[in-house]
Amino acid sequence: MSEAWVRWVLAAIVVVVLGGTIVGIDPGGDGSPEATAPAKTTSASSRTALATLGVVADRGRKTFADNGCGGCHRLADARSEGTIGPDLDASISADTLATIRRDIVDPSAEGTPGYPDGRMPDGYARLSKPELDDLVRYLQAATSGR
Amino acid sequence: MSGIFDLLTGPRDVRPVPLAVLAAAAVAVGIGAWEHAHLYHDGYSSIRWIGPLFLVNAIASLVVLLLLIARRPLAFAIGSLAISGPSIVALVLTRNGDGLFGFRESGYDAAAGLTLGAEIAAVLLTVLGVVLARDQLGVDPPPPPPEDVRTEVLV
Repeated sequence: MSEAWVRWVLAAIVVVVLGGTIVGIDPGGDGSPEATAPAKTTSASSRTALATLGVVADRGRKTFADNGCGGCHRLADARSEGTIGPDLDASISADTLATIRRDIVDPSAEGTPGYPDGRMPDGYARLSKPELDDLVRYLQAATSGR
Repeated sequence: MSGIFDLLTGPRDVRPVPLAVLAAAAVAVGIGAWEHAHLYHDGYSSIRWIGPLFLVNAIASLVVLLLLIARRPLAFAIGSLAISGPSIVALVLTRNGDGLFGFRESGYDAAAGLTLGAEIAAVLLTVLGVVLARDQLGVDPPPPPPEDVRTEVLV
């Protein structure tokens, strides 16, 4: 086999393996239901709770979007499907406002089973108090009735 | 423009030892790129600035690997350093201070550790390969012009 052929074969391997990963063919997901389940729809209970909150829910939803929370978390109301962090629809449905707030500003205080500690960005204590209040109330309303 | 042209038409062959070192650097670049592409599809794609940069890293690494296979060692070396150096800085920044573009993470899990190790290895091996092949890559300054030899003419 000539040197040129060796180079062509190497190039083909690199393009297939790395190129395939880049375009998302067999990205190597963990295959867990958490990672592959489609986003849930909002429940009637959460829609009612969000409607009751009104403008507070709108502001909380905006804070959620502006801070990239959906990049890591799945939340049906925000149509986010992040899988790096816990599925918020499933993990905070029964949490109190205080618990949700603590999980945002001090994520290492209590881990979520199945997720490594320290993966959650810990800079959200920088949010202003009104932003944090809106976000916490929005998250509780958006996940209520789960 | 001529600089880019020179890179692509410059020296194409290096000795076996530096070539092996550069090939090892290419493997490290490939591992870092694979991990970036994998993480991109594992949720990072939705993170503002960070997600697109992960994709840029993977695509640029693919191009750089092809440059070495196409016998463009100097272009590969420059590309490898241009990708891996900033990647190391970015990884460290996301774990210190205000983070990178507002994105912060804590600690180094397996994926972050593998990526950081691969990027550091890529930088070290690339620098070593360039040093070993510096005479072939035109990194050394050109030799001084020959001394003016005066010829005595005997009449």
